Amino acid sequence: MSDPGASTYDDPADGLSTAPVQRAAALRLFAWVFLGVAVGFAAFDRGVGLADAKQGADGGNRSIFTDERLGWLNRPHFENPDYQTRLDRFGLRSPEIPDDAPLDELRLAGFGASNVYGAGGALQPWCWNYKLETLVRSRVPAARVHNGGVMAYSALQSCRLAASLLDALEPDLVMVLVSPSAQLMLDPSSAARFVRVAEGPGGLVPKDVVAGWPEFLHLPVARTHRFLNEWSALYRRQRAKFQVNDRRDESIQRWMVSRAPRPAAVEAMYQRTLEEFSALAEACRQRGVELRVGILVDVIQDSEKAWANYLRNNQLEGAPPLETPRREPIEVLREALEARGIACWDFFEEADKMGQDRRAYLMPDDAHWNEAGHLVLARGIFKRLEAEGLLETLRQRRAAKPRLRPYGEFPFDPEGS
Amino acid sequence: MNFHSVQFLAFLAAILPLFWLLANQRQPRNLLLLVGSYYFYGSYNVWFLSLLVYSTFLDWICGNRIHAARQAGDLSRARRFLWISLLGNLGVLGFFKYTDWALRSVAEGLGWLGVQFDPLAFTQAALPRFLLNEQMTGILIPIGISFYTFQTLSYTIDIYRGNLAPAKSFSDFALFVSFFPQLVAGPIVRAIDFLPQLEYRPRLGSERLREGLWRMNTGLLKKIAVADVLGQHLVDPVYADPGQYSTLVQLLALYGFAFQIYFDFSGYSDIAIGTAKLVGFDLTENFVTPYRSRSVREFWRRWHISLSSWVRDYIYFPLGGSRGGENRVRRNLLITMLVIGVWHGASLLWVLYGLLQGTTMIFERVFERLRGGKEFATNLPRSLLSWFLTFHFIVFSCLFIRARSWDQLVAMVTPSAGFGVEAIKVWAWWALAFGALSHFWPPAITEWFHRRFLRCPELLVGLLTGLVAGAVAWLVVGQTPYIYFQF
Repeated sequence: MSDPGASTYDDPADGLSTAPVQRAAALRLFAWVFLGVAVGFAAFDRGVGLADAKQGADGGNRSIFTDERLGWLNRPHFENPDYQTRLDRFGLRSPEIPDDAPLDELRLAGFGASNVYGAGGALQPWCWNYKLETLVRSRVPAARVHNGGVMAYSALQSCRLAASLLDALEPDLVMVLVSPSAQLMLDPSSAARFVRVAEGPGGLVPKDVVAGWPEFLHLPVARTHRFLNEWSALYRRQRAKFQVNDRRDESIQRWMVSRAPRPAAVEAMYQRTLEEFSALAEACRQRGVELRVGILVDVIQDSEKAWANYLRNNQLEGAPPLETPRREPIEVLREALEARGIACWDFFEEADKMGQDRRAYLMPDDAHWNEAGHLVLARGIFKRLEAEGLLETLRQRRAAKPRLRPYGEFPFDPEGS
Repeated sequence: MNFHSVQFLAFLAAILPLFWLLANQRQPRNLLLLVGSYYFYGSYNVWFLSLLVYSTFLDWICGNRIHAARQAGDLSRARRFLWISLLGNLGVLGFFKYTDWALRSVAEGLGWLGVQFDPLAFTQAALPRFLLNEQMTGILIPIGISFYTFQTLSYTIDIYRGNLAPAKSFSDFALFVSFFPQLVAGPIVRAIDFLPQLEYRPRLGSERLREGLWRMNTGLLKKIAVADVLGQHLVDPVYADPGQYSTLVQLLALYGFAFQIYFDFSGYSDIAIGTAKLVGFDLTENFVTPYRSRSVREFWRRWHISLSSWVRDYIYFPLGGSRGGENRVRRNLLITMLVIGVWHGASLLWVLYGLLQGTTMIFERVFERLRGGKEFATNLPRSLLSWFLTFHFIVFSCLFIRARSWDQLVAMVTPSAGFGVEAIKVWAWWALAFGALSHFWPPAITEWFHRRFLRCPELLVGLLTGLVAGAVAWLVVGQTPYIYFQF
């Protein structure tokens, strides 16, 4: 019996010839190869799936879950002993609110991305919220500070998460901490990341899955997505990479807020982000909650040298013009937010201090704060709270109108995604 | 549509069966490749197609006119049309690639005279939006323009020299200009090599199929498993902020980039050559283990061969080549290498890169003459010394390719504190080690794998290709463009 994959066609005139091509034989060769490719790819995929399963990548203790409006959120009660991480019932990186928490206690909640969360290996008790809570309690003993940081969040997502948790947490002050960079200011999703293609629980698919396809093909495309998502480990990994690396155009990957004309690819995302700030401000105003946007500075901006390097090396990826002053991104963002009636805090001085000795304030990844860095932020927030007399104002306001319950319902469904 | 994308896989899966179905009909099969090539190029930016079409029309007309003039014995008319072709092509290339640089240089010159001139504001005011890049910081550079400009120029020059007859039909010529496997980053194909292949029916023996897949597989692995890993985990972070890394890490990043650019570009060439084989075409080789060279002159015979042979045939030889006095030869070498430098990009660093290569080649000539024309590397220790010096010269001259500015270049060669290598991630070590090993191990090892692959039955060849495709899907992070796309 002959080998089914053995060559059945060895063209004697391989090379240049005017003899007719044996088309059927050529196509048969391709058919064997395509079959082999399919089997090989599937085998590799299966191997990756088994390895993932062995490493517990798909285990129950996953740190995030997906959501229609926010993309992803921290999973409530997620634990990682390596970093002493223990998220509360709302997915916040701070201690649980006890059932007997005083109804008039002062609550501050900060939202943002990985630095706010305390990424890069920072232990949970090192985080800014623990430090700030200690400082605040020196003035107002019944006080609590929540850490609403989520890895890889944009400002748009942070604002949405903050707005969504207003009723459950009933905070007195909401802080959204952002930097004027592409990751924070340019949310690549078009607000809602999901689109409904069919009725029923499986009818929602991520918007990018069907983007670009004619509407009549949405259902089969969505089914293919679900099939691959269920059976292909490589597909799941690619989707995960997409989530982390997002889909911004290469030319604006390193964009930053500035006075330079905004490229068309930036404008819609930037405006959407500003509108989300306004929406959060309105939600806070309706509930009598104070809002402050803390403008942080990335490591690329924390010293003149780093800033010059960034400008020089990222012109093709959307960095502002070479002569842009280091403070300009912060000033422009501040002006844009204040024009919308949103009060801002500028943490330029704190970042500048950390930039002078990164090793003292940053984790080895050279991007996220270590314990000393978190302390600098906490002191910075406390200084501004004191300067505005906010702690006393908020304490009095809350004392006059205590909460009716210690906490409310978590408005998301971690199991339903 | 990068070679390592699902879109390209789908594109190939559609093109290949259709092509072989039409294999016995000359016009339809070539037309299919032409339409496919335009679709492929248009997928980067539809607007770019207009430049490709312009270049195609210009050289089609000029080629025919030059040929007719030559046949009529009217050489001055032939020369006129050659000039039109040269100016028409190089003018467009110059506009897109060098205008920004020229304006910046003018601004600097005026600045010394105390006159303020903002080149960016001038560009933004003078040009329509579609000619500017996304960030509006300069003129858009159409992908692959340097490659196809040189390719079409070779066509008119060869006709002018009487080495080539014009293409039989416009569609043949358009396919030569736009042939998708090598359109955006080479190898630069000559009409004299490509057009005759259109005259014959394509063949697909099982050996050709295996050879094509071998080239595609090795090319994909070179790009994804070595070049991209080195870029992401070693070269890019260190070049972005050299002062944050130890001297040893800076040094490893220099080696890392040398291997990154080789594996990236030779990977692209391998995929291009392999893809072309699957539709019955043979493209010229572009690399022959260049880092094994024992002189800079040898390096340029092994690196980007299609470009270096192009400048040799169309610039170095017409200038006089190695004929004439020694000073004339040195001048020719300098001019030729300067053209190679400036072909890559518009900046002082590229000029310096070209001059550095040219100067070193001249130095090698002088050294050889001092030895009475005798070769230096005649035994193992001398061969090793020659290789060591050449390799390190190439590695350090790569600084001029990767650095985006003079400051960055200086920062990369300014020693930092310490010699720690903790900042290098394990993936980068693997990629660096594998890249170096696979380049320097005896070619017989690669050949052994190659021969085994060629002996496999089709099903197994497909299976191995599927495993490689799986590995690529596992490793790839987004659309990482090939380095040479920017040239």
